[in-house]
Amino acid sequence: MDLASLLVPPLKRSILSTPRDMDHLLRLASAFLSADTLFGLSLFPYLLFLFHARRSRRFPVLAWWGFLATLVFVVVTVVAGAIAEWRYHQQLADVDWLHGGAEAFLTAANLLVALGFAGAGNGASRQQSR
Amino acid sequence: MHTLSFTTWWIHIASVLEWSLAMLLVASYGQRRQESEWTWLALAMAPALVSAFCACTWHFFDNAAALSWLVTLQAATTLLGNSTMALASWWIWRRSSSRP
Repeated sequence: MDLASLLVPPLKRSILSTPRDMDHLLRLASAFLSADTLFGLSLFPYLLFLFHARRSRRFPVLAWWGFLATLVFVVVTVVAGAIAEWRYHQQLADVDWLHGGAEAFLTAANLLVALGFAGAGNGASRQQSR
Repeated sequence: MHTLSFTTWWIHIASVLEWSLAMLLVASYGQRRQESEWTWLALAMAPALVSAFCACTWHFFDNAAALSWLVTLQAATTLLGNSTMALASWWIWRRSSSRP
């Protein structure tokens, strides 16, 4: 699923009269704005989030592990997406068992986050991540 | 809305409900401790909720290719949300290191 290739043709049609480097710039911009690129980039701030959350030693332990488990969901989704593409020649969202199976990892991770914050903080200020 | 099975829909809805609940629980965790920085974390978790709504809307319309901009918007709000969460946890760390 390459969104850039979907976006570029209409853009190119509308700028037929613009200089060649303008066309190149628009191609670059639309490639950068592809969902795959944005999802990939979003990993870096998330790692920063996890790093500072751990460094602060103030998050409920279970919640921190839940946030970390979200990365398991990301890895599973990437693998499931590859299987959907190579084995079924479809995007992940159209192969129900792979899609639901991958998403279940997020459900599990979010449950840990919710349980972590629900069970902590009732006067027990020692319940902190190491 | 039939591209996703009933089970897969429920897995999605459960994820969204849990995230919303987690936002409320983060806020109340902060209130119990009287530490306002947790309210900021709860707010920082909101773009990820918008992201989830984009994904669910796209699934509702059977993952239509014409609505693929929803996937781009989902990705953009994920990037935004992870960044706001990074800022919030940095703030939580900073506030603790400045306390005795």
